[in-house]
Amino acid sequence: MLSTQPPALLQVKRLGKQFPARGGLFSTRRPPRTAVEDVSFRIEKAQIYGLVGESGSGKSTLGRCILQLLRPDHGQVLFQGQDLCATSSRELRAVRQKLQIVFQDPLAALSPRRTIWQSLQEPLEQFEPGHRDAWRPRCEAVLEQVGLDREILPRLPQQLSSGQRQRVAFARAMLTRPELIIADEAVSALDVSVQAQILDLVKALRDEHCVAFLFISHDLAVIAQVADQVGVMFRGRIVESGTRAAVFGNPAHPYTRELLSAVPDPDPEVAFRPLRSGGLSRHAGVRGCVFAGRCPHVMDRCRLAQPPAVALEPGTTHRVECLLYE
Amino acid sequence: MSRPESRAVTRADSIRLAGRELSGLDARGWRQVRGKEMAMIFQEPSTALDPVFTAGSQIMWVLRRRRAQTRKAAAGEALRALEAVGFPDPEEVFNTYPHQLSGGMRQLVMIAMAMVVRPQVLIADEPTTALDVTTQSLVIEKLAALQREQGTAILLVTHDLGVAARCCRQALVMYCGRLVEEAPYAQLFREPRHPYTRGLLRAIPRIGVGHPAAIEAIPGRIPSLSEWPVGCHFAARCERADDECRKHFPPTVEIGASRVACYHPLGGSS
Repeated sequence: MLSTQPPALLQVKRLGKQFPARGGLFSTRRPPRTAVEDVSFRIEKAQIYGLVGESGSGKSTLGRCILQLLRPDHGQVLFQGQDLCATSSRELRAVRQKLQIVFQDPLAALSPRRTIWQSLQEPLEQFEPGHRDAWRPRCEAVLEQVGLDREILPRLPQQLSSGQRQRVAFARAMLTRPELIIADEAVSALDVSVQAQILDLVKALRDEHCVAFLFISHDLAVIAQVADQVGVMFRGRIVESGTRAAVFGNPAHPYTRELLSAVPDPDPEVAFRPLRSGGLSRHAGVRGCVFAGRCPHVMDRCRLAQPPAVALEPGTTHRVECLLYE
Repeated sequence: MSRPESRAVTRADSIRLAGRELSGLDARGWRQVRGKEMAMIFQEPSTALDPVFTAGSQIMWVLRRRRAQTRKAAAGEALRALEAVGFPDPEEVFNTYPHQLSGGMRQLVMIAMAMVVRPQVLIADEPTTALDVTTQSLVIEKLAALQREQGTAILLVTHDLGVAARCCRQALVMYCGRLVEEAPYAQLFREPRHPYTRGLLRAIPRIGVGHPAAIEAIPGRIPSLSEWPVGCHFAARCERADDECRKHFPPTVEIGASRVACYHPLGGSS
């Protein structure tokens, strides 16, 4: 490994997380379920890293492991050089000021009985106690950043539209002046016309306030719209990663190709020929490549061990975990 | 019990199924229509399937009740239906409980269940919204096969124009409870007439190679049920709106193959 790269804002190294199997009452011997396995990637300052994959691929678990809301089993999460996995819960509080998260459902993230003003004060109580006089102008400034009017401060979450609520969630994240926001399916529950507004907001926050994003979504078209760098997850692993242009323009992993081919374009004249391997198979292989059970190009050696990540072209960030490219 | 639905009033001048008037039917009459002449599948198949019965027994139940089949005949047909929607191991799925299946597989069980009653009309309400794209493509294919092979008319309710593009001939665009545009899908995509339809088409993120096509958000927000305006419901977000639009809901006009409820349709004379 070369170590001449400048330090990243966030660097994840060989992260892994398993969950104990939900055993029945009497069976406790089932093997644990691997949610995230051997994941490594980096996010630079003011970069939007798009993480895409189907449900159950471990995207959200990865986001929570980075924030240490779930403690990973192994690996490192280096944020501005500090390993968060080795940081105590107490010290993490200070780090979380720079590391925020926005969830899919703002109705669940905002207390239904608190006004927006009350909800916005929470991070300030935590991170800027003692400067009460400055809270109100700070909140108003942040609301302006996310495109909301200060009139909404006395309202309750259910009095806002879904798009406004998601803007409030971004405003609350922005209050602590974060370096990185993890947006976990943050536009998935929104109507497309409103979704486009929130995507614009994400880009604006990046451009104007130098915030980096880990943007998690199952929607490839959304990722194609916002991400600078893309990681494709399948069963806990990032099977392909690279710049947006590389991954979408020149997809290499059979899984990435399958995913891209399955996205229906609204133009009826664009051909729709989804590649499909055993999508209905209920049995996963235990060893070897995570995609081997569904892969149309599977070879015997694929079932022996997980292929290592290889660079498709030397000197680029486009990497794929597939023996076809050895 | 007073759930909002039970207090809701549905009014219709006419609902006709193959020429037969349905709007005056009582509950008993409707029961004959539902699940037999018309079937419905939902976004969340896990809530539509009974968790304590196997997939096969639920399809059999429909056959025995709706088509008065014997146990044996029903079991055979249920198996064939599971095979027809694409399960490589229909016997195994037959004996499987819903929680043992993935979301996509449950939706295919629902489609199998709808198929066996051979409805004239199938209402599919966001049938792929909860599914991953790879499974979605399979469900789209099976719905198309159902339409092609059994001649079932499908009313597909979706927010995803990509899905509509793959399934639909005719498209209806709704905004805040009103139909704003109707046209053959290809026509709608090429030449949207209603400003909302155009806004919707521009707001969809699409996968462009290399550089993404810029998307454009529709300004403003969707009014909530309690604040629907008097005139055109889209007026507050529309750049073409004038006083007339804010006063009256526009009548539907025809432009070529499109029908559009707008005073200032795109490409229209006014």
